[in-house]
Amino acid sequence: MKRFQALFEEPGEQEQSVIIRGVDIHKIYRSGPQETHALRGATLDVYRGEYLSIMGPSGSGKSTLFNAIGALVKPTSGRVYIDQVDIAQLDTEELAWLRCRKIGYVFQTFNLIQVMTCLENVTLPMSFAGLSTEEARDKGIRILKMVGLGHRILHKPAELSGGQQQRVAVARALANSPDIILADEPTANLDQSTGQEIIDLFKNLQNTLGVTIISATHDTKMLQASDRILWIEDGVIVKAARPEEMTFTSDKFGAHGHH
Amino acid sequence: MNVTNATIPEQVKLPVRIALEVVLHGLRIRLGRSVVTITGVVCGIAFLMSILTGQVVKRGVADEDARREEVSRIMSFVRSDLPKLAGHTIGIVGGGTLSEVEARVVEQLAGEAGTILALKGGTPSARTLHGVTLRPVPAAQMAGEAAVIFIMGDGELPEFDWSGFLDRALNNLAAVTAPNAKLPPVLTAERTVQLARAWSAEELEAKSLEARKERFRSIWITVISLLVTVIGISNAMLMSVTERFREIGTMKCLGALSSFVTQMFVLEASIMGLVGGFFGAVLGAAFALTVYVITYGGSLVFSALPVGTMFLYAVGCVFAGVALSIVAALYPAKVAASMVPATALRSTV
Repeated sequence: MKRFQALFEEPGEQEQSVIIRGVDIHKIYRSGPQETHALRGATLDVYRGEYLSIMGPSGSGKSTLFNAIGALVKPTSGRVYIDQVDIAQLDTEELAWLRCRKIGYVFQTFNLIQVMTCLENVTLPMSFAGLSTEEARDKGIRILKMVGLGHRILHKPAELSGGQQQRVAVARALANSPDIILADEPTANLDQSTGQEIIDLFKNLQNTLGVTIISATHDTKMLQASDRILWIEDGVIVKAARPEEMTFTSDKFGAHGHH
Repeated sequence: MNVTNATIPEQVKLPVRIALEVVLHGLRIRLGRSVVTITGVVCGIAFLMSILTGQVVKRGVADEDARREEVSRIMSFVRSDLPKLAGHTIGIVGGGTLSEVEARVVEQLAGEAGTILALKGGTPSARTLHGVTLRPVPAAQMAGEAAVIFIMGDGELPEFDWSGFLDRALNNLAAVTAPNAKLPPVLTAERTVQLARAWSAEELEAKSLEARKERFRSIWITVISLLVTVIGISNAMLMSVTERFREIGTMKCLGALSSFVTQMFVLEASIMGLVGGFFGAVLGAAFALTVYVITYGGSLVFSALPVGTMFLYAVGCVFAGVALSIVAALYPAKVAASMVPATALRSTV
C-alpha cells in the first residue's frame, strides 16, 4: 500500500504532462446472453491541469469511458493509467484510496447525503482519509467559503437551491485536495445562470489550484469553457478539438480543421 | 499546486463511531420504514417469548395443581377418619425435609386440629411453614397424646416406640406420606395408610413422552416463526439497499471501503434487533401471562411463576433479536458492499 502511495509523490512533473492515459480501452457488459460493447478501443490522454470535456450521443459509450478513466469501473481489456498507475492492478482497498484522495466526483444529481449538514457532507471524505475532527472541520469550512457557501455550512441539502447543492458537491469533491475532478453532467439539472456559476467555479479551481477537470457534458457553455473537447461515437474517440475550432449552434456541433 | 498530506497513513479503517452516526441519522430519517422492520422483529420475538412463557407458566400451573390436589386428597383422608379434627392431637415423626405438599398438609392440619406435636429429635425440617410452630415433645408424650401420627419427610425414620403407640387405642393409626419410607415391621398394613402416591413406570413413561411431544411441537412452531422474522428483516434491508444505491455508490466514490458499508448495515440491523427484541420480549411475556391469568386465574399463575427463569428468557430473547437481525442483514450488506460505484451513478432510483 505504501509503495502504491509513493508512486503518486514523484516530484518535478512538467506542465503539460499526462495525468490520465487510456490505451485501447474495451468494455463489454454482459447481461445473460446479451453482450454490449460499450467501448471498442478508446484511446486518450488527459493533460495535467487542463479542462477537458467529453461529448457524445447517447449509447456512444460516453458514460462508460467516463467511468473507466474515473476508476469507477475496470475495463474488460486495455489499460487505464492514472498518474502512471495501471488501475487494473489495483485491489479494492487501493481503488478506494484512489477515489478518496486522487479524484473528486461531481454528479449530475448532486448525490449529497440528505441526512447530513453541508459541513458534514464535505468532511465525510476527510474522515475516510483519516483527518481528525478538528482538522476536517477547519478545512471543510475553508473549502465551503471558497465555493461561496460559508454562510450555509450548517444547513441540510434540502434547504439549499440546486446551484448551491452543486457547489456543496464541488466542495466535497475538493475535500482531500484531489488532482482530478470528474464531473458527470454537472450543469444538467441547473438553469442557465446557475450553470454558469458552476462553470466559473470550475475555471477558478483550475486556475488557482491547478486541478485537472474532466467533464462529460452536453452543455454548450461548459464546452466553450473547456481547453479541449473529445468526441466519442460507437465506443471510440473519433475527434479531439479545441472549442475555438468549433461552431456551436443550438443542438449540433461541427468542428473545423483538425486537432 | 496541490497540497498533499504530510503524513499519509495506510488507508484508515473508519472508526465505528462514524458508521454509527450515519446509521442513526439514517434510521431517524427513514423512521417509517425502520418502524415497520422493527415491528417485524417485535412480532417474531414476541412469539418466541410467549411460547417460552407459556411453557414455563403451564409447567408451574400443572405442578401447583398437582400439589393442591395431593393436599386435598390427604386432607380428605384425615377428615374421613377423624371427622372433627378440632381438639385432637396430631403427631409428626420423620427425618430429612418436608416436601412442599407435606408442608401444606401440616399447615392445613394446624388450622383445623387442636395441637400438632413434633417428636423431639425425630421431626423433619420444613423450608417454610406459615403460621405453624411445631412443639417438640418426648416420645412418651407423643405416643400417649397423638390420635394420628404422620410419617413424613425424605430422611431416615427415628427411633420410636411404635407398638406402644399402636396399642394404646384401636383408632390410632400411622399415616405415611413419606415416599419410600422404610417402615419397621410392627407397622403392619392394617395399622398404616399409604398416602404417598407412587407413579408406576408406565405412567411416568407416558408423561415424559407427552412432554417430549409438546416440546417438539413448540420448537417446530418457534423455528418457523423465527425464520419468517429473519426473512422479513432480510427483505426490508434489501429494499433499503436498493433505495440507497446512489448513497452507497457515492460513499464508495468518496473512498469508503467495502468493510465500512458492511459495518453500516450490520450496525443498523443490530440496533433494530435490539429495540425489536426488547419490545418483543415485553409484549410476548405480557400477552402470554394475560391469557394464562384469564384461563387459570391470577393467584394460581403468579404463585407458581419463576421470575428468575422468565428474566433469563427475556434476556435470551433480546439476544436472539440482535443475532437474527444480524444474520438477516448479512446478505443485503454483502450486496451493498460489493456494488461497483459506476452502477450507482446512473441509477434512476
